[in-house]
Amino acid sequence: MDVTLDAPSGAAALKLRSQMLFLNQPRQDPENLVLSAFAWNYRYLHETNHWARYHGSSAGVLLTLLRRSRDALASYFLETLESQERRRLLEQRQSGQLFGQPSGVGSLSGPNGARLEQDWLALYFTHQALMGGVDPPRAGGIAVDWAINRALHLTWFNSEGKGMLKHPDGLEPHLTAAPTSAPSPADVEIGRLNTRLLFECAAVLDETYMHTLGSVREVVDPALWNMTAHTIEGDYGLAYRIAERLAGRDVGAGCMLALIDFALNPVVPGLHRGVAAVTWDELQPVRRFAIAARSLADHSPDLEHAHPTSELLGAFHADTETATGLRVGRVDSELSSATSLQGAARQPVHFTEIIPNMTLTYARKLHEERRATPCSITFFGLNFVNEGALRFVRPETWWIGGNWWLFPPLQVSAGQYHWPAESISQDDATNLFLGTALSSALDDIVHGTGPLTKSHLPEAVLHDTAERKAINQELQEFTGLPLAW
Amino acid sequence: MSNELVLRGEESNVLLLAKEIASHPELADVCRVRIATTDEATDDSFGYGPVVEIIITLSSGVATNAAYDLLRRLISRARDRGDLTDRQDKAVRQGKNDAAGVKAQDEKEQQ
Repeated sequence: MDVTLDAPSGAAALKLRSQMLFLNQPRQDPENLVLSAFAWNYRYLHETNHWARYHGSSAGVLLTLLRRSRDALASYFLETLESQERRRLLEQRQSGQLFGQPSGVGSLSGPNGARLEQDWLALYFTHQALMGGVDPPRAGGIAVDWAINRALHLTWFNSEGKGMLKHPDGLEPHLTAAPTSAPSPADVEIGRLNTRLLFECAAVLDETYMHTLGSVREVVDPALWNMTAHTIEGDYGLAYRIAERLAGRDVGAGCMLALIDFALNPVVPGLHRGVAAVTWDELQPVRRFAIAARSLADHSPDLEHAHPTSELLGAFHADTETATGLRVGRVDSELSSATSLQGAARQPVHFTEIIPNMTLTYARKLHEERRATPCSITFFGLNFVNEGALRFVRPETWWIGGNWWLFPPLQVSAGQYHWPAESISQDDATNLFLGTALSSALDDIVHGTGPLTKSHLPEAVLHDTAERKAINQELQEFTGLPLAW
Repeated sequence: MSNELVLRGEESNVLLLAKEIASHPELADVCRVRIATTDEATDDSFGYGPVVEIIITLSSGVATNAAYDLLRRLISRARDRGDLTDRQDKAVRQGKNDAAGVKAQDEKEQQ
């Protein structure tokens, strides 16, 4: 079979940019049907884990809202340009990225454009810094503290009543200048760890529940266990190894999952009632993780020695808060007024809000689940052990009202776009596709340098001449620019 | 003369395939295996594992039909465990397998 040199591997992935799950169907003609079916299920569990953990955490909700604010701002910037400025924008973009250049195109529309550029960069930088490691990335010439404070302000300002709490008068969100207590890369080999690898470590650990506790473990091919063991020895186990080094001892897998969950749930101004000031140590997941891991040198939670329960998790949170001074965050705001995928897809909103509307509807259900059964997100793999595995079978209807919110709805298989046809119509699915394609093009337009990227989108849709033409027409109306995939 | 096969897939699956090939003496003698990392982006996505390439070179003048069959069975079993994109395309056959985002090679080599 001939393939193009830049063809993707077909590897499973949840792409944050489009919020689409890339997962090919199991082989049509497997050598070993059982092996093939289990291998597919492990991948699906792994990526589903990311979906639930990302949208079911306070850090994930903050990242969604930062991205929504950034996209809205980029779109507004494009709308404010005069036709002559649009032509200059295209010329400038062809010679290099727009936002973030010393002579950025923001100056095209005067001081207003320059301010929008700075705000966009603050939102972009803060998103990167939250997904990054213990040391923030370079902020492109703007002060780090200013960028984060500005991003927190803009996000709360834009999201008040639309995912975030009412903004109290005179209470600006900001970082406090508390002395840092997170280990620096010089303390341990922590420089390579980032927030993505925290998620990956949790997903691999959740696979081990299937291996060790599941009723199907006796029929699972040992090859799958060998694959998981190899994965944890690589970068996906980096968080585990660093935590044990910081703690100075072996740490149980349940405790490690609780540590990661602690790291991913900071107090966030606008989500956690009564909070406006936080330290960077308290907000950034890898810093939280490292500080909490080090505190394990002094205490051994009951969680390490027993089957995880919500009570043990509560005790772990209380002990870790006392030991580190870092609080456990929660989401007190109403994330979405929609209660279903269909409801979210049919809300009349701007293109930049379609996908955030969808993910916040899922986040709302996931945070309800977290409140009702704290264990279910922290130890996500346990949901699928023994009779819990039935949650996989009919996610729309199993149990009371289903558990559709655990699973990413938009999927790509063999390059084709798939959606839950039992929940939404083709028009809804088209609306969601346009929302994800158009909003994810904005970064490329204002901060990219070459052709619009497409590896986060279903290949077949963009290969179809008629569909591509229709999408490009929408893109041109949306941006006012003659750009195309 | 040799036949070269390049497959792209998740690292844990690919490494297991390499181990399986190495564990069969009848293949180890006629098969050379290399693993190469790829540029496939991971920054803004969560994946099942890093994506790598396995480059299998089979000495066609020496390998028996049995060796071919065994290799085919091992690869087929690896495909049960996860997607392996076949990259035995023209560029590879012409010896241009250093293209396509391969940035580090010879991490693992078996003769």
